Amino acid sequence: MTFETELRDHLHAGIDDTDVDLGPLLTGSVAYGNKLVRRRLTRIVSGAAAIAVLGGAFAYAGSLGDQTGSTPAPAGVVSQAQRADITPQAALGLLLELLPQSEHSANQRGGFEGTGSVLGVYTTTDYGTAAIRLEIIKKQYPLQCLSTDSDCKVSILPDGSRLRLLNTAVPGPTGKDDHQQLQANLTRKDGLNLNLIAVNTTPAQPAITLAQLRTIATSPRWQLQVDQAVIDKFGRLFVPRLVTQPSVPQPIG
Amino acid sequence: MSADLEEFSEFAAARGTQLFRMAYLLAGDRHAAEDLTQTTLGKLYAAWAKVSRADNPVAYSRTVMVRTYVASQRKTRLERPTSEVPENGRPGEDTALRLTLFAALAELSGRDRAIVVLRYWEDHSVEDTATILGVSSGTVRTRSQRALLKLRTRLGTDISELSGL
Repeated sequence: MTFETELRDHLHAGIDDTDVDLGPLLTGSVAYGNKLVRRRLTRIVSGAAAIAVLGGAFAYAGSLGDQTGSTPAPAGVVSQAQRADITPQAALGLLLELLPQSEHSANQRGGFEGTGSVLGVYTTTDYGTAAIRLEIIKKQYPLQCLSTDSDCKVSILPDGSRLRLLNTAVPGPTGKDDHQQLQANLTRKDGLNLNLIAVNTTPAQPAITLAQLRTIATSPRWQLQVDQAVIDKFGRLFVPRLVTQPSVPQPIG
Repeated sequence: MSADLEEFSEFAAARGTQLFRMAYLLAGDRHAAEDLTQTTLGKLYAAWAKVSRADNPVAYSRTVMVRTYVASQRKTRLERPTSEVPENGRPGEDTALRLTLFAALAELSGRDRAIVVLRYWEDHSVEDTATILGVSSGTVRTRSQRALLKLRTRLGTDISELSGL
């Protein structure tokens, strides 16, 4: 018997007698499906609203060129001082401003984090020979250092924030632990949770260091709500994913 | 109950257990398998108007599950250090054979594991497996060979001894 045949037989022997209570799964999946539908509709409505606002803005701009100047400002034009929930594109834009060499950023993407409900935003980018993922979320259990983590430290910062810094080896494409994963996980008193994760594919010459991640993660520029001007500024960086299963760039190299 | 919900419920009742078993092989523990099954069924329900018109809703559901799993594995891999201990499900429930198999499968990448499950549990051809995963046939062949080599090395004679062969 070949190994393939043997494996096939044992996969069937190992799993084919397994049963599950489908009732709760069906109930849960219908609820989850309804949320996906609602979210899709919300985005369609939001998109239509954005178009309406843009239309109003163009109308307003047109009115400025009108020397009679008698047209009132249209409703719906957003004030520059107005604040709104941070978007995936704004998160990436701020990250790029904080990275030492933002010109090394490529393959930018992001979306909304969460399954069933939106917990926050995420964005990912290649950064030279590294991949970086940033998450800004509202609720998170504080991450701990495990006894098996050889290089992990949790500290309380002067403002009361809790910061975990982790440096660990992870498998690369060859299956060997030859990539370096760095994490800065910040839990702030104001309810903001920030996870900044980087994978250096060339640890001997890291594209980014843990000290740099720490500096970026603890920047006061991170907020759950940011100026509308910031959202507008970075809105064209990418089109956010509209599904709740986020994607992460493939390891480089 | 709406016609859509009724139709979806019939599909889920007929197909749910098989989807759960595939999820169990992919995810490696019961709780994660239940989550993956529920997420897959939820996505199917949200797109039921499209799924119900598909030539083969069963194939559609399989593709949704496998791609959801592979995507979640990429995310998990970047989010979590590998030293974290995975949830192993309800203690005492798994047979020695299943535990041995799952331990070996857990050493494969998400995509390789999906290829093994599709090729050797669901008996799909290389071409069908490639279509489900959205990769080339060559990728499936290469990854299959690599995964089998790893499994053969990892399992050795354990698998035969456990099943009394």
